[in-house]
Amino acid sequence: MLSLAAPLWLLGWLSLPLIRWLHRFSVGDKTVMVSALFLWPPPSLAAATGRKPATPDPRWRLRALIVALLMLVLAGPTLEKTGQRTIDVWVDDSLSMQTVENGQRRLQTAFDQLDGALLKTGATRVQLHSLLNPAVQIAWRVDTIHHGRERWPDSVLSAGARPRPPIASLMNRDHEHWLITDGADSALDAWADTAPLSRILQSGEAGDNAAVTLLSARPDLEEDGAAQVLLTVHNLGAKASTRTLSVYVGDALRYRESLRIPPHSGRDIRFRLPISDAVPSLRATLTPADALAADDTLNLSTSGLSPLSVVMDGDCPAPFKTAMESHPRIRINETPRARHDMRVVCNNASGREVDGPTLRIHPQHSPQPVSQSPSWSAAEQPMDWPLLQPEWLYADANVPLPGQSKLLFGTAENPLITASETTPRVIDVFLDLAKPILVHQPEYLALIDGLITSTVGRPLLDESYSAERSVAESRIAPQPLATALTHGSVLHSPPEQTDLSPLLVLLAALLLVVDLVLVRRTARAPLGYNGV
Amino acid sequence: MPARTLTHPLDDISESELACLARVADPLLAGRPLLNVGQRPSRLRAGQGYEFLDYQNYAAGENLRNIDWRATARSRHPQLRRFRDEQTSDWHICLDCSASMTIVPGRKWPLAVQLAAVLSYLLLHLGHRVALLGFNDRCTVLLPSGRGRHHYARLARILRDTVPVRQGGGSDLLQCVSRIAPRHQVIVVSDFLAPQAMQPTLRRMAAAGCSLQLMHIVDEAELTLSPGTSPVELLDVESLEGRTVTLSDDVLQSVRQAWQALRADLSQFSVKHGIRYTACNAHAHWKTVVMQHLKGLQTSHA
Repeated sequence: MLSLAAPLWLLGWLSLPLIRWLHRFSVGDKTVMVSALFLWPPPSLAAATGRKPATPDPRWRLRALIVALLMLVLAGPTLEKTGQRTIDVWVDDSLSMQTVENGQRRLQTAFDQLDGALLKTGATRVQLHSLLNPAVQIAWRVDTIHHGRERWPDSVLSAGARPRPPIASLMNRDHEHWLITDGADSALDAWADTAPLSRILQSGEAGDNAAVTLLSARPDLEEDGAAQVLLTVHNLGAKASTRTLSVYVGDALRYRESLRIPPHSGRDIRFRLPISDAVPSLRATLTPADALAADDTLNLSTSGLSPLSVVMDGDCPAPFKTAMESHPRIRINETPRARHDMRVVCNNASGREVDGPTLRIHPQHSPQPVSQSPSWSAAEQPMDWPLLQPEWLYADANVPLPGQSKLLFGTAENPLITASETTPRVIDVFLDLAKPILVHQPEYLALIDGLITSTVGRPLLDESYSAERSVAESRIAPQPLATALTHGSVLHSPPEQTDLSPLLVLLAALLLVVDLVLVRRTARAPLGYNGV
Repeated sequence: MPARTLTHPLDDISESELACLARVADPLLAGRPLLNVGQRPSRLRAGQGYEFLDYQNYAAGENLRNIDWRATARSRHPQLRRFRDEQTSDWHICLDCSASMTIVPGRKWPLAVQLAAVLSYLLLHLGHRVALLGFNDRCTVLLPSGRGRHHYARLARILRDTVPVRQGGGSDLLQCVSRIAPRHQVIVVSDFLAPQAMQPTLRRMAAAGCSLQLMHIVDEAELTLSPGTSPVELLDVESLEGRTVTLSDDVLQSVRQAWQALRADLSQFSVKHGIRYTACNAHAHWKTVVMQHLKGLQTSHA
């Protein structure tokens, strides 16, 4: 689009008739000079159109064009390359942009602002980038911007992650960069201060919001089938909020409490909650919903809180069996073919193939005290194994290391506990677990729990599950951004403009040369008989 | 487009050629045969003129107009009045320096310059006083009367420096009238492309007793315009008046007829007023034109 820095200079075009007037007596190229015009018949007799006043030199048009060009140069013409203007719009699609204000989400409001702003710029190429998921890029033309909004994936809107803006120094300097945000994320605001942004479209006004920021559950070791629940609720607004906290196990309401949360603070709630194997989920909800309803609810899967189902095959040592039965997180299944999470095979009783995590307790024929001081393998860290004294340990001598297994405890000549390197995991125990000197040690139960933990691959006694969201993610109060950017003016990478003045001056000079050539040619040629 | 000459037209005239031409032209310009070849005429010799010299007995063949009847009555024998030969009278070369003389470069103006120079040389060779007047819409060149070889050198230098205007001006011979005394000899070298071919001025000069000779340089190239169907803006090179004309065959024919009528009218005017009139083409050689003019003078004297 052509723009002029000093358009008043165009008034100089009014002088163009003066140039024609100055050429009224000049001779043009198509004028034939004759020595005696009185010899020529008058127009009426020659059937020609007479014109008493001499026509101006046709070259007046060329000279007028030169003057017009120079006037245009004084007006400072610039050409904006609107046809190649590319705008990258960085969309803050974080959780706070889903805040509902005036019946519409902030992101929707921001898209409406973007519609108007883009239509004014005349840019033909716009690319949307998600700050939550950089892989999401949507390009569309301005005239189909609504289609582009419809193409914005919902998965991005509900991603629930933190914005990941690009590195400012790596942003394409040939493009304009716009930012759509509500200014609630301080990290994003800091990035906006350093990024080469041309414009920021800020939307959102509300600042009061309460959110469930943590829902955690761990098995209650004192009560079978129960869990200890920890909830954290934050009020990120400027005034106290009174909300009702409801906790559901599946769809069944199990806990309800009315909370008054001071502004800019959080509150922890702890309670015991029975859980069910059939409904392995927890849901905490704050009511009534506020502007950002998406952070009022937090879901937690509790499938891991159920006791471990164990099948025991063979004649296991009695102390071992007792220890297994007394483990608070283990449920012995008497049916060998029932569904189970772990199998215990004693005295090589089972000839079937390994169908899951298996703990094999090998029989001891003539157990001897361990001669060398055994040690735990460093590869099993950070599992906390009990410290076993050598005098407590008895085992058969010269037991070979099983194939495809690694040593967990013992020595290379006398392995005591080994673990298979294949899956499912198989733990082989060559210790005498019925030896009274070992059974009567407090470390015995810790050894049994460690064997179970190593077999299933997760700690049973210290197992906890939690779902949380960042407190900053739920902060919806807009922070002030760069005023100039939010008001539409351009600070960085303005639209590329081409100064047309040199081109016009060159064109005028070229026309002047042409005029001089024509004048010289006219001066050289016979005045009366050139071109006739 | 004719080739541009880098030299002046006077460069084509050599001193030897002028000397040879002078021997031929002297008797023609004097009005009678030369008595002694190689001798210059005396100022006190009888001849054509207005100043009385003496009486002489009438002989057969003499002009009866010169018989002095009073003297005849006194001497009882026909007496003729003789006058002082006016070969050394004052001549004025009026050279047309208007723009029409150069409208086609290299044609009319070079010949005009050469004719002015040659005629001046011939007249100066006979001892006449020669003045040079150049005119367009005013008198642009003025060389007062003089005689001798030095005067010819000055005249030739002025002719070399004289350049006609390219546009504007006019062809007004009247500008020279005030500088020419009555009964002087006048040679006008021009294309006579002016309304009525300068006849009013010529008539006025003849009435003042001036002896006129006209050298009319014509150039048909001025009329050789290519016919066309589109209108063409014609501009008079002197008056700068414009006129849009379609160069049809009819128009070009009418222009040619008007031009020829102008020549015929000027020729008839000259005959009527006893003016020696010589028309020559612009491409003719100066020597041919001068000889044609001098032969015409001899014929008129006879």
